[in-house]
Amino acid sequence: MESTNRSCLICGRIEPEGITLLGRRICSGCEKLLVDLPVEDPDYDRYLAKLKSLWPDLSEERDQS
Amino acid sequence: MPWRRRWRLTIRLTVIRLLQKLRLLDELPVYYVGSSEVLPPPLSSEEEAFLLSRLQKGDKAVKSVLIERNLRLVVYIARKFDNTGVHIEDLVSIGTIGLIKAVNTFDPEKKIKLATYASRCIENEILMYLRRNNKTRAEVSIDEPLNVDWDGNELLLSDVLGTDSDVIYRDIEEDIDRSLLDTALKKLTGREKRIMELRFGLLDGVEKTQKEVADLLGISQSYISRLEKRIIKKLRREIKRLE
Repeated sequence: MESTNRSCLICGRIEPEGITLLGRRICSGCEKLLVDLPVEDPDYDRYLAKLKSLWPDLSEERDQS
Repeated sequence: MPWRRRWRLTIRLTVIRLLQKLRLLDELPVYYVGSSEVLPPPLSSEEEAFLLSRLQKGDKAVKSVLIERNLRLVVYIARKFDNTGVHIEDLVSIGTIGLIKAVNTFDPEKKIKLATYASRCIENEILMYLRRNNKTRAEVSIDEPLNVDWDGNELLLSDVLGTDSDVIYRDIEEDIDRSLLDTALKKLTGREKRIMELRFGLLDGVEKTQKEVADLLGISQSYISRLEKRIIKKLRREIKRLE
């Protein structure tokens, strides 16, 4: 079992509002930011890197292959 | 939806909201980790309809459930792009952004299934990302490091870029040589200068033979040959002095 990390996966702040994905929080501010984020945005890859931590098994799968 | 399942879902949502308000959500156990095999199962049509009706009423807590229960769809679509050279965890994360966008912009009034709409959003997000990357890949900076040696010195693209026989310097050097020659020619006598102009085509680019020059000037070819050697020596001396 894993405990939910209360701080936002993206900004690190602890906000009551937001969504919980696979035990990790995304605060409502960052959620809105993601919804309005075009792929051309210079910060897109930065947010993407933060989201990747949701999928540790996939990174391991790549490292093993 | 059977009243019992509906009741259980309502209880679950109420508990989640209560825990969120009390900031105790981290006490909740999480039963799945980031792997497609253990992701939560998709929602049934009844469950989805119920949750969407709650979302329409402003219950934002259901968004987490709607997103999580569609993560298998993200992994399924991401795997279709596995041969694009983008890592799977990147593809899945991009797809997750697409899914978050889908759940936030979904309109139940459109009478389309959330999974159908989400699939389009996920695929679109991945395609847009790939297109952006292809565009960027075509552009290469001349300051791009090609390699780094053991001492940390970077070999830049600009270091290996060049033009054939250094075109730019060659032109500049030719200009300098021509200017030196023009100055040196001024030191020659009228006849010496005339011989050089005719022999090397300095005025019209047409080079004449020693015989032709000799005929034109009314002197023998052997004399032109001796004069030419002397004039070239004189020019070399003068140019060396000017350099």
